[in-house]
Amino acid sequence: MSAAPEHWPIALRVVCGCLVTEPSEATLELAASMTPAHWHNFNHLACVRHRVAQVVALHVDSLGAPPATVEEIRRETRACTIETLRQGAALRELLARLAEVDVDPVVLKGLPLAEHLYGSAGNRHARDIDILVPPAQIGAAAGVLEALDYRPAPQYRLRGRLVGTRALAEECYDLEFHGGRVSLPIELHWRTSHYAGWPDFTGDEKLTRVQDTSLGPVRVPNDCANLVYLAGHGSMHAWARLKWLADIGRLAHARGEDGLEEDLELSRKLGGEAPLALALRLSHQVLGSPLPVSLATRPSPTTRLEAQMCRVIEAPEIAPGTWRYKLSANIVSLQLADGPAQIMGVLRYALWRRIRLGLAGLVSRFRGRPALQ
Amino acid sequence: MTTPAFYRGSGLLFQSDIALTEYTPADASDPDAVIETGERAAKAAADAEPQTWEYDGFQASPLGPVIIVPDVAAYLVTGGNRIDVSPMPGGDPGMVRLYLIGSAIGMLFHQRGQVILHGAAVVQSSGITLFTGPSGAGKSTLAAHLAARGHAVLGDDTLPLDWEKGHAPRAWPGARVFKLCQDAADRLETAGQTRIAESYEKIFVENPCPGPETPVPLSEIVLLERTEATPELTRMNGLEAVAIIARNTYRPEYLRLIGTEGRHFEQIAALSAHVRTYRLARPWDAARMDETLDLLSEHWGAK
Repeated sequence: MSAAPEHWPIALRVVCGCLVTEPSEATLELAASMTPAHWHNFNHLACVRHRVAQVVALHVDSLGAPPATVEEIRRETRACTIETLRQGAALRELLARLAEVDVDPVVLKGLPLAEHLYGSAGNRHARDIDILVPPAQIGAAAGVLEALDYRPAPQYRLRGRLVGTRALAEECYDLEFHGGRVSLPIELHWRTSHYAGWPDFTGDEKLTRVQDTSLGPVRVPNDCANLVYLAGHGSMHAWARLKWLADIGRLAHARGEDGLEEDLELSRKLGGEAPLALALRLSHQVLGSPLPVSLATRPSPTTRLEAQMCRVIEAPEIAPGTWRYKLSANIVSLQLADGPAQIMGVLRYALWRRIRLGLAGLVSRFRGRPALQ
Repeated sequence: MTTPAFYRGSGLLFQSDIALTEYTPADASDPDAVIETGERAAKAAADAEPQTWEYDGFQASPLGPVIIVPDVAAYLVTGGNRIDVSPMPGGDPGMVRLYLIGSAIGMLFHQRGQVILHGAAVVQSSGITLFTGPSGAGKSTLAAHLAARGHAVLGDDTLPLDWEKGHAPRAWPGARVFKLCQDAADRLETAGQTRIAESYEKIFVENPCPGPETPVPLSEIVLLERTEATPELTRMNGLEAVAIIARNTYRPEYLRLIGTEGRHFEQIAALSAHVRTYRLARPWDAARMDETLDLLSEHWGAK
C-alpha cells in the first residue's frame, strides 16, 4: 500500500511515495498505471506545488517516468543545484563575517539540513538562508548583512528601521534581507517561532550541535530541536507544501521510534508537543514514516486538524501571503497552542504586532533614528 | 547588480559564485579569473562535436574546451580567466566544487601557460619540496604528517608554478585543507574535518600550516615509492628528472587539448635544471611513518 490517502490524486500519491524512502512496490505499481495527464500533474506537483523535484528526481528512472517528465524534473533540479551552489558561497561568506564580530549563529534548514537528511545539498529545495541569533545580537548580525550589501526586503522596511528596538525583538521573530553578492534572500531570526511564549532554543547550546558540512563546521539545531522547530514552522504554514513534511518524515526515520519518544518528552517540556504530535501523525499518514508508540496507542486529539491539513496538501494550489492563508495559519496555531501564554502569543502576533510596530516606527521617525534601507 | 564572492589561492584572485572552500576569502578587487554558474557550459557541451578528443570527458565546442564529468557538471574553461559551470541534474554540489577546484582550475592554469604539477607541496628551510607519485602513494598523508610537525603545506593536490624567465620557479600558498581518507584523518586526530560529498570517500581536513602569504621557491621534487625496507632517499639524474616532471604534470592531456605541448616540454626541461629531484622509497605502513619523517628532517637539516 502507498501511505498517502487512497482518495488522493494518483500523481500526488506517487510523489508522496518518493519522499522519505525508496518507492515501494505499491508506489511503482501506481506509477506504472499513470497516463500522460497524470505525469503532467506529477511534474507540477513535484516542481511547483510542493517543491520536492530534487528528491523525486532520484527516483524518476525507477518509476518509469516518460522522457518529457524526466527532462522537466532534471531541468528543475539543475536550476536548484545552481541556486544551492550560490547559497553555499553566500552562507560561507556570511558565517565568516559573522564570526569576525563574535556572532555564532544557528543555521536553520538549508544546506546543513539537506546534507543531513537527503545526503546532498542539491537534493532539497531551499529558497533562502535562515540564521538564528540571540536577540542581543540582532544589531550586530544586521550590520554584517548590511556591510555585505543585503537590505531589508521591501515588505520588511519598517522592521529594518526598528533594528535595535524592543518592539522589533518582542513582536517579531525575523527580518528578511535581499540582495548581497549573490542576490538571494537571507532571513535573520532571533526566535524560532512567530509567537512569543512558544518553544524556542535561541541561545540554548544544549539544543544545538556542530555539523560537519561541505562548507565546514556549522552550528545547527540537534535532531530533537529540529523536529520541534520544523513542526512549529510547518504548522505555521498549514503544512501546505510536502517539502516541509518530507523533512519531518526523514527526521522521524533517522530518529526511530525510541528517539521520537524522547523527542516528544522534550517537546512536552518545551511546550511544543501538540505541533510535533500533529507533524508526526501527518507524516505517518501521508509519507508512511514511523509513529512512536505513545502516539499510535492513543486517540488523536487533532483528527479534524489532520484532515484539514490533508485537504490543504491535496489542494491544487496554495496562496501564501493572502489574508485567508495567514488567518488559516493563525487558526491552526491557536488550536495547537499549549496553555494561555501560547494563546496570547498567537493573538498578540495576529492583532497587536502591527499596531506596536507602527507606533514604534512613528517614534523612530520622530527621533530621526538611522535605518537599514 | 550583484557580484559574487572573492577568493585568493595559488597566486590568483578568483571571483566566484561557488564557494571555493580550499581557498582564502578575499576582498573584492579586479579578479584574475571569474567563475560563474549557469547554462553556458551545458550549452557548450550540447553543441560540442562528439568524440572530438581521444580523452573521455573532454569536448571541443564553439565556445571553447569543455570538461564533462558525468552526473556532476560541465565546465567550460576559456581564455585562462573564465570558468562557466553547469551542474548536471542531481549533481552533488560538493562534487561540483571538487572538480572545479581540481580539473577545471587545473585547465585554467594550463591555459595561462603556467606549469602545474601534481603532488603535495611542503615548505622546508630551502624552499618547497613537492612530493609526487601515483594516486594512493600517500602524498596527502605525508604532507599532513609534516604539517603536524610544523611544516607549512601549500597544497596536497596541485602546485601551479609562477615562473618568470631568469628567476627560480616559485609557488604561492594554495589550499587551506587536505583531502584525506577518513582513516588517515582519524590517525592524525586533526580538528576541522569537512565532508566533500556523500558519495566520495575522502574528506577535507583543515591545513594547520597553510604557509606564508608570499611565494616560495620550488627547490626539490621527491617521487614517492614503496619499499618494505628502511626509507631511502636517492638523487635522480637529469633525464630521469625530466621524465618524472613530465609524468607528474597535472592532467598532461589538457596540453594537447589546448595545443601547448611543445612549450610545456621546454618549460619542464628548464625546470629540471632549477630543482633537485629525488626518489623516496618508504614503507607504507602507517606505524612506520616516523622513520620517513626523520629521514626527511635529516635531509633538510643537512642542506
